[in-house]
Amino acid sequence: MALIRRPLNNNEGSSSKADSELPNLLSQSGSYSIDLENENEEFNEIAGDYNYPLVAELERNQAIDNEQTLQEVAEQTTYGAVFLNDLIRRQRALSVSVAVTFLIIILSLPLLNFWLRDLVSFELFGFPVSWLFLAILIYPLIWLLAFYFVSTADKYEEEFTNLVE
Amino acid sequence: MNNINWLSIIAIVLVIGVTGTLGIWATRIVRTTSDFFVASRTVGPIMNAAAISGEYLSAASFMGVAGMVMKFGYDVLWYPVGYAAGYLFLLLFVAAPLRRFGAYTLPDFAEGRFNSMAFRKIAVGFVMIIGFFYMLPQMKGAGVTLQSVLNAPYWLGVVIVGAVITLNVVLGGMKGITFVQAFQFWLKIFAISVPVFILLGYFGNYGDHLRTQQNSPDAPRFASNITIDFKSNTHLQFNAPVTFTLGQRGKVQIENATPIILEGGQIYKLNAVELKLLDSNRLTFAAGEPVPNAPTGTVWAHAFGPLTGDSVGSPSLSLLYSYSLIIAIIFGTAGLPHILVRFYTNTDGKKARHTTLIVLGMIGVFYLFPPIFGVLGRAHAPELYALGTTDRVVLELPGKILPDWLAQILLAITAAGAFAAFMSTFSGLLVSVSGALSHDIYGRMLRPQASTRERRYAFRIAAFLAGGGAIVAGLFVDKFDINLLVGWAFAIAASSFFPMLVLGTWWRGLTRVGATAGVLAGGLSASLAIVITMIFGDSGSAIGNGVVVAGTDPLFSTLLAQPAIWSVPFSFLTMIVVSRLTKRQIPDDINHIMLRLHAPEALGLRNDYIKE
Repeated sequence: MALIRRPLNNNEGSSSKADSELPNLLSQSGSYSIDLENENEEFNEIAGDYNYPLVAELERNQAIDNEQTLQEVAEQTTYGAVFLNDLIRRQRALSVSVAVTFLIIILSLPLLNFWLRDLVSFELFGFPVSWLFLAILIYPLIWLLAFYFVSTADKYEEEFTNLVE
Repeated sequence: MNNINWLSIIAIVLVIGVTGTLGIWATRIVRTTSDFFVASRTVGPIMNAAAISGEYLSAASFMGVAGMVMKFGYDVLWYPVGYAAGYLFLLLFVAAPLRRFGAYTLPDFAEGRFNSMAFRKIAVGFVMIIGFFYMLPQMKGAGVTLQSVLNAPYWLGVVIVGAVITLNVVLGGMKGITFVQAFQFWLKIFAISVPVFILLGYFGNYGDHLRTQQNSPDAPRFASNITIDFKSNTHLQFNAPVTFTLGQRGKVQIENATPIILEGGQIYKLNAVELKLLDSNRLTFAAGEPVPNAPTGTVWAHAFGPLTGDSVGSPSLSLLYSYSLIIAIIFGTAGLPHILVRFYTNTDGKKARHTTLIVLGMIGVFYLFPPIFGVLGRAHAPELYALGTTDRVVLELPGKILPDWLAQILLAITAAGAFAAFMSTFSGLLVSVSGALSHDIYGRMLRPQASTRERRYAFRIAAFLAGGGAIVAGLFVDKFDINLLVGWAFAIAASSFFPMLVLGTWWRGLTRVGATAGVLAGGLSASLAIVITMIFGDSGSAIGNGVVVAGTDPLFSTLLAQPAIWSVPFSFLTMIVVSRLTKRQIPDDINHIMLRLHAPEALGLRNDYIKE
């Protein structure tokens, strides 16, 4: 599977401890990969791309290297960790604000329909307004919100990357 | 159509043929590596997004939305809106972190984030429950399509199509699925849009149809003389005085009065009334008679119509029903296991976001079309109300235009699109459910020492069993609308995986026990409510949505039929409260996990996963 079974919580440990565990980890993954390979062939043959173990396995070996690097960043570069926390906070605030904006719009519609039935059956461009909104206009609206989110999230990550590097 | 439409059959056979050929062709490229690997390298973001959309647009989207819009009107628009808006929430909260985490399936995520095999097993269980619920409407779509095209009985369609697709999966015909799904998407959007443009050209514009309905206090009327066979215990609700000829002597109940025996061969004139045919009978209506079981124009065109209102009979409960439905669909999309799996084809978290944006554009365009079928169907194929087959409107409406050759071509196009819709989704579900069964249940729990051959064999058996189970269950869901069934799968996903994903990626404090408890509490209670509704739910009236649990309080019945409004918060709350209580269990490497979930790839912390 794609995920390391064994928790890499060497946080408190010294880096030498992490080093000493490295061979152990690799050998574990080595023995594990043998039976995974068999699974891979089997799944490849039957399930096409639903076969995950192969990708997972390749990733797994890679992930071990990455985990080590990540671990180092997490432990050593305090600045990096602070920046990352800041990034997570900003991303979360962005996601939540876009979500809340959308929910306010979409959840107020039933209330409008409930209280202002005549208003929402007013005609615009030859459509009843409520239909026009819910059957047509809402899709570009969703897309624009998504576009705003994606470009802002990209921008945040770029700023973060520039800061850390 | 009363006879077999050969052009449609040719089109369906072509869809199966092209799908198979594409699969084989793609497999030849894929060969030894996983398709995901190939897809992420050789496929552009547009094709990737098309593959995601292709798997997502099921029978519910292609046929169900149109049929339900025709049947219930305005309220149904929430379904496609929710299906699309769900991707917004997927984008906001799940897409990038899930991809960055490197988890391929939801059970992978459950295991990796919480470092718990037990939780993985629970996740596998919910993957199968949701997959199963999602298969039922595909089966219904299959039955309905073959009914329409071959004039075959419902059960035959379910059995034939179910068997063909299951066999295809068992024999390994769903390889190279990214290419196949992308192709299916383009086929579906072609098959839904082109007929709509021609139909609008023929029947007149969209807005005019809506305005006519909005101000009409009347139900639609039959366009020509028609004779319809009804089964016993059929409700027929007439919103205007009606005249019909009864085929044979039979017992009939008017409103809630004592049943009476009516003689056959006689002409009956009734006021607007609700009839219940206690015996099966054949009714003949002249052209211009009101169509039974069709809501009036004003009710249909406005919010809180029969979908949300009829079963509960109170406006504020309709509001509750609407909200619960919206919550289920939006949050359910962001927790659907077979959809989340597709995000693995993205190379990194940033690309996952970009792909989702394209997907939103694609499905947003797609969902403009099905409601138009429903609106036109109400005006031009109203007999479907009486027949109880509004789910077939996409397959029947094109037959109403002239010249006949054009009608035949359009019918073939929509039949092919419908087939592509349930074929792609059913195959995808079948592969993921069988994968979970053979890989997680058999390969890990029952017989970890199983050999390759045994596992391969297990996958096939699992696919065979899951497909067979879906076929058998599919035979019994004829009475439920396709979207109602899909809505239930969404409600379960929204109450189990969605809270786990959102809190798991954004809140450090979520513990193993908290996540497990929340998934179980929300998922099981929602499943229970739905199963009760499925078993005991009965159509309270002819126009209602068929989900009233008789003899219960209307509020209770609404909360059972649409559980998301309480089950989603219940799941979130359980996770938060239990996590707070088990604070000590927050793993030491939580910062590390957060880093993995959210660190941009541009940092170079993770170079390519897969080295060539």
